[in-house]
Amino acid sequence: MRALCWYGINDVRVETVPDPEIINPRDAIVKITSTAICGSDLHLYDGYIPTMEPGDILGHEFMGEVVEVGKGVQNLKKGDRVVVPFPISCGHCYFCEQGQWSLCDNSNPDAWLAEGMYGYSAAGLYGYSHIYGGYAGGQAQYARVPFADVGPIKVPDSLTDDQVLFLSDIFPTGYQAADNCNIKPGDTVAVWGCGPVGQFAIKSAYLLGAERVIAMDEVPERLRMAHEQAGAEVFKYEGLDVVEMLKQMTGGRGPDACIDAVGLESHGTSFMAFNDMVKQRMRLSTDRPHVLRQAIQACRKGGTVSLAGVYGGFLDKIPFGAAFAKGLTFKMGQTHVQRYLAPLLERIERGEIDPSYIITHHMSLEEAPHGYDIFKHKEDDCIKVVLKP
Amino acid sequence: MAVPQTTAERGIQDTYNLQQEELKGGYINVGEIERVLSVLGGGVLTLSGLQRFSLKGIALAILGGGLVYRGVTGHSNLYQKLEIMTSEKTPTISKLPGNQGIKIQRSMTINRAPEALYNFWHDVEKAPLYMKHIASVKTTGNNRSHWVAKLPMDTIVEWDSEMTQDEPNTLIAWQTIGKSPIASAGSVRFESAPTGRGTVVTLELEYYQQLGGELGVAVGRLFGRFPEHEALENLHHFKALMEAGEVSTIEGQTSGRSKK
Repeated sequence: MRALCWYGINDVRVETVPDPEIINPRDAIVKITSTAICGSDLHLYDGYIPTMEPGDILGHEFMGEVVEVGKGVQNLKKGDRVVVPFPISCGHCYFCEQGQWSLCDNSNPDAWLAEGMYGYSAAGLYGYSHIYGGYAGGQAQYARVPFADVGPIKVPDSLTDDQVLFLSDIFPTGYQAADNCNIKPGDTVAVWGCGPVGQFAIKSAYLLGAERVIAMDEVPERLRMAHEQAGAEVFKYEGLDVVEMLKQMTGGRGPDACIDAVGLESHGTSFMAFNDMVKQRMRLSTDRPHVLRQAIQACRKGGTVSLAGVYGGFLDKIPFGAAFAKGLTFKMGQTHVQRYLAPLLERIERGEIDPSYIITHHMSLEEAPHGYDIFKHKEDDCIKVVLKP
Repeated sequence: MAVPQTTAERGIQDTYNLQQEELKGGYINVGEIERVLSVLGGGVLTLSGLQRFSLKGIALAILGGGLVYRGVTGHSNLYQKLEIMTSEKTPTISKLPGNQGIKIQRSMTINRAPEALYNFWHDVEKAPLYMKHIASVKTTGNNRSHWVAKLPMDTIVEWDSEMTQDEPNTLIAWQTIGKSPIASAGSVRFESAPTGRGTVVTLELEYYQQLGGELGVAVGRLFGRFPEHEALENLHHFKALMEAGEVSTIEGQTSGRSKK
């Protein structure tokens, strides 16, 4: 089959590789009909995530048709149309049973690697380096789906691929970020980043009852989309004192919750941000916390800082004194997608939201390297690329 | 202190003991970061020493070599003489008294009742399902069994084992008997975890070094990391098998490395 393989910084290639096969009884094989490039894939493309091996297949946002099931899978059969959640979860450990699917104890075959770095290993993910299990990803024609009896969700034929594909990752991710803000009536939520996850965080904040959502980015197309499609109040943060701006927009109180939908590659124009970038390029530090610093400073006293954006390593110079003095709550982590699949599918079916609006580019799997390029450089007004294998 | 009964109580006792233990007992007395720096710095010195064909060069190379050794083994004779330890003590691996060998201890909480876990572990012929390097186990009667392991580079190792203790749903203990490449003994304990968490499984393994003296200890220490890693991996696999019904793997999966 054809698959998108990683070979180094800015080097991804579509190659012919063996078809995936059933290895364990609870596996299924899915023929992929649509697959997307995620913002977090860019961290792999840019070389910031360690333990990648040349030849690894990328991709963790995919859906398609079941073509084969292992003998341990009773609830799916050949021909079922499913969306596959990006965390791989066994369904029976303490964490899965608590609904904390992205913390599964049993789905990382290289648990010792993650334990060395993080103390404990969380769930394996598709196509996201060996510290997360080294599983072959879904930017391909077929994928092996472990624990297929608890992961994938069947979707009705009345909804198109474009409408349901983002249940695999970014819609639940934005939703969880907003859910973690514990939104109360009258609340104002500030969102850093109007990329796909930010867009869904904005929409989700409104769905969960926020009075106002204020969103920031530097890219005009993304700000326009956030305002026109998601209904946020927007401003461009370049060169602006964001903390003061948010304070003034909220009558001097600060936003009740701050969502970081940017993660470890945040840009900034201050000296500190430049310092961060240099350190990261020189590999002296791994993550850039420019947005996180702003979120901590801007958040109202007693508020919540909710991190959707991926962080991988270590952060420098975080204003923790400010966080402590203001009594902030921090919520973060990989998305517990399985928890949100059914409720969010229902919202789509009811017409409350049509996630397909964020797609700006469709292309074939063969053009994926071009897709990565324009997505990374935000060229051609690119916001989200969906690939057809 | 009364004899500790539960794992929690034993944990407190172990921590108490660690704090009382004399520093000079530890073999790995060089901290992790220092070890990396030792290897890097030692490597540079060795290489630059070897490039100079002079007495000074030889001296540099020897100094470099010493640093590399220190980094790789984690042991510094100087530190030992000065009774300094920059490494953190870990409760999972320790020396047996009198340089007899090493002891490894690992716990894991498994989301099943003690009975289910005890019964599965007791059936030794199932060991290959969760112990990576064990190829086969056959019971040979009288609480004994014959084990065959396949190690890297196609090395086959065989030994006989005897169950020495068997308390249903609580404890199983064993030791190798007769001629065996590695003399060892072990036990696995099953205790109910706090409400809703399942069972705490504690694995203890002792490996007796069969080479004499300090060299034996050094080899044991280097070698010790491998059984400790194995023990942890085996517990992970046992847990996955008991909870999820299968052990997660990516072996045999497709990638760009096996392209047509």
